[in-house]
Amino acid sequence: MTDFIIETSQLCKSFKEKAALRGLDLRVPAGSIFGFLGRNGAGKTTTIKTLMGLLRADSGSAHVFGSPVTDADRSIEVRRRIGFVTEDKELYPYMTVEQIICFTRPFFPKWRHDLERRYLEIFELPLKRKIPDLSKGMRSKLMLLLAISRDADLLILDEPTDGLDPAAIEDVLRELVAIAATSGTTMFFSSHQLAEVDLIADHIGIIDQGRMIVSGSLDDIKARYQRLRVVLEKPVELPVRWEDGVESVRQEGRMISLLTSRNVDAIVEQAQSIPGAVVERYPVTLKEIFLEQVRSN
Amino acid sequence: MIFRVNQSSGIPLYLQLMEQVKHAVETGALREGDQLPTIRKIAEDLVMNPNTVVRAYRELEHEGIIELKHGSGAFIKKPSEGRVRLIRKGQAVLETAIERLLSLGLSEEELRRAFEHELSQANAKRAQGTAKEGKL
Amino acid sequence: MLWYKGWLETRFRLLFILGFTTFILLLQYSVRTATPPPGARDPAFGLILFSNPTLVLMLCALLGGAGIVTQPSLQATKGLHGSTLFTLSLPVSRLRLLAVRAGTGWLEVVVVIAALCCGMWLVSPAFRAVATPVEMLEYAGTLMACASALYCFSVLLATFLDDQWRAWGTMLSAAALWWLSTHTPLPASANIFRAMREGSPLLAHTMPWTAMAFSLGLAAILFFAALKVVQFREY
Repeated sequence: MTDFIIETSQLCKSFKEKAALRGLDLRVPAGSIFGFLGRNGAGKTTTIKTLMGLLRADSGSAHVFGSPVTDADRSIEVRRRIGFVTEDKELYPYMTVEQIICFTRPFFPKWRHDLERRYLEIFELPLKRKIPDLSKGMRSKLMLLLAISRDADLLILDEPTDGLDPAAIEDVLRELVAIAATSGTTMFFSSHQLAEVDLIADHIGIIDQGRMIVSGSLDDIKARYQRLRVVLEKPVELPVRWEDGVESVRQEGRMISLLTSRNVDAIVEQAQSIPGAVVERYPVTLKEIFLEQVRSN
Repeated sequence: MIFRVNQSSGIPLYLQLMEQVKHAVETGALREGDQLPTIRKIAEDLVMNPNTVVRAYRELEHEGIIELKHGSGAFIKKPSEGRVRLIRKGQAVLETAIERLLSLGLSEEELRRAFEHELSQANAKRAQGTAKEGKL
Repeated sequence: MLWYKGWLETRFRLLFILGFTTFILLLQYSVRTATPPPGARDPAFGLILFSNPTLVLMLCALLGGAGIVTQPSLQATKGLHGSTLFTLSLPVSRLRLLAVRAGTGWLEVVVVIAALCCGMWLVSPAFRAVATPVEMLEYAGTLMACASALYCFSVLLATFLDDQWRAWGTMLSAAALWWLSTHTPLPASANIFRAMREGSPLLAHTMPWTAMAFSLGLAAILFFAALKVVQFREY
């Protein structure tokens, strides 16, 4: 029985006329690096804010570390174990880098001074500079420093690499991977950088229009999603009713391209049963899976 | 030991890592008894999920190429007699196949492409298979 | 560290208010040297009756709840709103956040009232002639107690209005209530405004205990209401 650090069930949340979450089911296993993907406006930030207790769901349940997010008594202890990076990376405009670190430290008894020093160096954060004078990228890094140095059990990061240049993105991801490799910290982060998520995540969830449309271990998903290329002898229109699990079919002349989301073997068999057909399999990138699922939804 | 993976090649990352280790062994860059970098180091250097590295190492151990010594790390194993014989057998099979195909009129380039194609198909099947075996 | 944060947030506002207070006192000082026309009211009393409470009102409106930001306000940078999410993600109860924020503001109100009273004492011989130091202290205490209700009203408004609306909202509401209090018969015990003017120790020579208690009680209720808003609000 896997331990789920974050678990939501049929989470619903509407704002005025717009329904942001329509029955979201999310399960983040302990110790995983979970990539939370979705288009803008799909409900990523709403989900994250609900988990942090900043929004109240209309219906459904959400649990973090086993306690419901609405439990006010335990919420303070829960927040002590979470490192949070907000979407807009805004911090107090009247403080300097040094001041906000001094301000945040006392709230976390497990504060790691070694990590603080390390990130100040790696991220090249100027101690005496006022926060509004920092670029967005630097503010992102500062928020990460504040989130990671508290030695959290769970990191909830809303677009942590937003505003960063490629070198900085690399730095940040490397640090996240290092944390994953050494401690058992669970990482739940939303991102638009599909290539990066493909590299470092071991679980993903794709949210679209307030619902989870794909979720699970990345290895599993990559195995289920395959591109099949079927080459026919003659350019015939096939009145084939494909097996369950075919997400899309595209035919151009003698070539048919299929994307499967499950049941690959049965589909391959079906394709191979077409007289004269040659079937080949190709792996699919996370980006293709994402685009395909989000477009067809 | 410097490893590199190509994110967009479509070949699963753990397989790419495995290939690089095997290639290093075959070319002599890695010898029997040499220690591979820690899982953490490779994960950090390549910025990839540590579990992927774990999977590669486990597969390599399964194939008898490396030995995971609990607590000390991963070491290149001396290929067992059985392994060496198997490799020799494989080479013999390839030799016959290549001779035949060349005599049929295939060019070296066509031959190479055909070989790589079949190999990637086999890899795709295998990747699906190991994933089904469950989490490590 | 929350107190430190509160201080950093409002220190410039405080300096502004202290500056304004000094300005009022300088005005008083300059008036003192002018000879009042016969029959005219002693300007010192004008100060007690009008300017002081006005200043205190302004003070509460400006300092009250400063930092409890709700919507992105017109002049404040976007930073202040976004940072609210950061604050709320810290392992602190919203009660403590509100209490410290309101507390720092209230301490600043107290400081300014004290500065005002000391300033009045130093600047105007008319006061020194009329009131004893003890009475000045009593006057300061009265102002502080009566200001509490006004201050907490501003804190409550701050929980759902943005900065500028809140400041104007407090001042206008207070001015309206003041007007009402002078035109409708309110029991002297509940009339906070009266307690700051005619009922104050400087003029009535007694402490308006009931008005002060009423103000403090009202302040507690308003603070509690503000707490409920902050706890149930969504960000």
